[in-house]
Amino acid sequence: MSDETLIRMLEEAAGKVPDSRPPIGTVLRHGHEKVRRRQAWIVGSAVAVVLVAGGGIVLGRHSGGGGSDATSSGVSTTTARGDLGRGQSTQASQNGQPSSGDSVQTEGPGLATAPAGTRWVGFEQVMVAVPSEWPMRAGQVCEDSQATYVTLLAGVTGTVNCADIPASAAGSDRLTLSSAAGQTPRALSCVPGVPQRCSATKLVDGVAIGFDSADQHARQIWKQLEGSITAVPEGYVAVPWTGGGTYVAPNVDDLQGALQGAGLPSAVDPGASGRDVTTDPEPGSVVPTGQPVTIVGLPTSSSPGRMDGRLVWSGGPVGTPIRPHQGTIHILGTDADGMKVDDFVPTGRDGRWSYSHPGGGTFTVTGTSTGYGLAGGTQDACVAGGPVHVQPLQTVTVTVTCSLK
Amino acid sequence: MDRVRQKDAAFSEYAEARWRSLVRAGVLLGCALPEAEDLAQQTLLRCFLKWRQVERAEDRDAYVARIQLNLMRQNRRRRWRGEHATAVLPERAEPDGTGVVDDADAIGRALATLPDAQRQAVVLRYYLHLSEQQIAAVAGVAPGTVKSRLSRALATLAESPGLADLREGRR
Repeated sequence: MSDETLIRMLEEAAGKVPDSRPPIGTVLRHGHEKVRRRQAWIVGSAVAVVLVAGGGIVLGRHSGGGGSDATSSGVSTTTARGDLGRGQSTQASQNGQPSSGDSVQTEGPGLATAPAGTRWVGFEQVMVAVPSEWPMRAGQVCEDSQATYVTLLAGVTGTVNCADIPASAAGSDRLTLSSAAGQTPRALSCVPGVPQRCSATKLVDGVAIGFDSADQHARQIWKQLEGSITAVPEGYVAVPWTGGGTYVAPNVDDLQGALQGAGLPSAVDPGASGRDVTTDPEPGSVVPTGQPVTIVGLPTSSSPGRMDGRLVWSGGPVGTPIRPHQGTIHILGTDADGMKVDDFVPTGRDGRWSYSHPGGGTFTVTGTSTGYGLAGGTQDACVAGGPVHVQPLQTVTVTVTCSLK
Repeated sequence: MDRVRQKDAAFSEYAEARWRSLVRAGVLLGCALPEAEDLAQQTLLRCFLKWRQVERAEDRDAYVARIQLNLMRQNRRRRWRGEHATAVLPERAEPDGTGVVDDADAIGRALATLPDAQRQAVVLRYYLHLSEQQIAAVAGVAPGTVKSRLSRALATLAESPGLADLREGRR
C-alpha cells in the first residue's frame, strides 16, 4: 500500500466525522478556574517551603497530603481571648526580619489556663491553644501519613514518613508555627475537592501561624485556633526545638544550645547518650523562665520497619487466577519496644497496602475483604502465612489471602 | 488583564483552528465520537493551562499530539480501573456481515486490528503528518521503534481484506 493511498483513506475516514463547534467558552471557563486554583496552591506551597526551610513548629492532626501543603497563608486581625489578659504588644522579630503581621496582647500575670480540651503550644513569643489530643511530633513533617501528630521543626527541609503515628479517626488538620520571615498572610481559603483543603496563614509578631485542613469543619477549627492566639506571658517561655537540614533528630548539644538561648537550664538524662533526643517538657510547652528542661532519648527508633503487600482472593475452580481485592488490613502484634500494636490500614483498589512501624516488630496480619464471607466481608477472615517479623529499615512483602474453596 | 485577554484570544484562535483535527484524530485513534470530542476538549484545556509552552514549542503539532495521546492513555487507564467483574459475559463484537462498507468503515476496521502503538504511529504519520522523529518524541520511544511500528502496521494493513478493493482501485 502506498503512502498516498493510506493518506487518502485516512482523510476520507476523518471526513466522515461530523463537525461540531469547539467548546472554547467552556475550556476558557474551566481553564481560568484551574489557573486560579493552581495559583492559590503555588502560593501555599511556596509558603510551606519557606516555612520548612526556616524552621518552626508544626502542630496538627493530620492525615495524608504530604508536608508541603501544610502551610498556606492567610491573615486576619488577632482576636485575643477575652479571658486572657491584655497589655502591651510584644516585640517579635525572628531571624532579623521585621514583623509584618498583627500584634498580640501580652498575658497578664501568670499563665492563663488553656481553654478546656486544649493546651498551650508556643513558638517564640506567641502561643496557641491546641486541642489536647493533637500529639506532638518534634522535628517531623509527615509525608503521606494518615496519622495524628504534632511536630516541632527547626531548619528542617524534608519530610519523613510518619506512618508509625497512630491513625486518626477522622479529619486532617495541622497548625504550623514558624518564623514569619518571607511568609505572606492569607485569609482562610478552601480548594474544592474530596476532601476539600483549606488553608490560612496569620502573621503575628514575627511568627507565622499556618493552618491546613481537610476537615469539613475547617472554618470552625481555624476560628477557634485563631481566636486563641496570644502572647507568651511575661515570665514564661516556649520550650524551643532545633534541627537542621533534612530531617534528623537533634543531638544533645543541639538542644542544649537552643534551650540555653531560650533561658532554660537543661539537664541530660543518662539514657539520652547516643540516641535521638527530645525534651521533657516537650518542645512547644510554655514553661516558667528558668525552669529546668531535661533532654531525654526518644522512646523509639525513628527508623521504621515496613510491610508492603496485597490482599488477594485465591482458589476456586481450577485455573482461577489469584485476584487482588480491596479491603482492610488488620495489624496486630508487638513492636520492638514491647508495645502492643493493633491497627488497620485500608488497601487500594488493587489490593495493595503498606504499613510501617518505628523499630519494626512482630505482627499478625489479617484482612477483611468486601464480599468475602459476609457481604461486607468477614472480619479478619483473610490471613497471611504466619507472624511477620519486621526489622528497622527492612521492608517485608506480605500477601494476605482470602482462600476460596 | 490585557495579557489575560491576549492569551484568551490567541488560545481561542488556536482552538478554533485545531478542534476539527483533534476530534478526527481521536476518532482515528479509536475513540467513539463523544469520547473523541471529550478528548479534544481535555486536550485544549491542557493546552490552555500550558499555553506558554504550547506557544513556545518548537513543534507545536507534535507537542499537542503528545498531550492528546497522554490524555487518551490516562482516560483508558481510568476506565479500566472503573470496570467491575460481572457474572454475565458481555456481548461480543461480531463481524458486520452486511458487506456494505465504505472506505471509511474499511480503514476504521483495519486500524482497529492494529495494536495501539502501531495505530497511533499510523495516525500520527499519515493523518497528522508528523515525521518519524516527531512521532518518536511524542510516543517517547526511539525513532527506530517508530520505524518498525509503522512497517509492521503497514504490513498488517496491506493484508487487511477490507482494504484490498481500495488498493486495487475499486473506486
